[in-house]
Amino acid sequence: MSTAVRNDIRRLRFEHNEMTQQELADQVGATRQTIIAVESAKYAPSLELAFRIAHVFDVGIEQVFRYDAKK
Amino acid sequence: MSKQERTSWALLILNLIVGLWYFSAVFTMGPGLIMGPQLGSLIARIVIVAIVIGIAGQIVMNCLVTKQRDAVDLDERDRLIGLKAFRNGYLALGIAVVILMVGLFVLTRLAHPATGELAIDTNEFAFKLDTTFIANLLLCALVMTEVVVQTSKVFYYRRGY
Repeated sequence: MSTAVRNDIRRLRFEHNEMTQQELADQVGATRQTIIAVESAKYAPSLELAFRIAHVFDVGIEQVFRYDAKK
Repeated sequence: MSKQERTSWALLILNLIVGLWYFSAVFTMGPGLIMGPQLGSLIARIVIVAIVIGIAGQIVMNCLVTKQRDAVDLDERDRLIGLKAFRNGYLALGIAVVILMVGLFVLTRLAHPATGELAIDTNEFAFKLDTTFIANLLLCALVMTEVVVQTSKVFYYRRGY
């Protein structure tokens, strides 16, 4: 089961000194399993968590997440 | 596996062991024994075993976790899964209560009007339709509800919700 919310978290982590999922999880106040689920588009995060993830990468939310209307 | 998922697995296994043990013993005791010292002894044994299993389970799960621990124990996804599992449990409890109501209505028609003994008595299952029996049926429904809640949580975690 996957959501219509796609993301570029994997690429952004790679571009930020190959940040681990655990490091991202700790910075946004989530568990590593949640980051795994978000990254694989199995879980659509809340708006607040989405903003927090974008804030960690210092980019806009639309540069991290996008809506896949076909899904 | 997150801490919440590990907890769900542990609670599911514990509920199944304790539930199966207790109800298989209680519903085969027969009328008269269900309120006797046998029940007290059974409950004492189950409580002790449940505590031992709980502590042992906690130790085993802590030993299995070798990776870095999360900074938070519970996040928004865990809460959402908890709510969905609770909803499933509430639905299961509702269904169980309706089944019990219908079942008890039918059983009261089958029971002996004076003694409460049921016509379906056998050597293995000798039910007496009294408050203890009904209380055990309700307890059984509550345990099954908890099993549904924990199973739902495990399902949502495993499916990757």
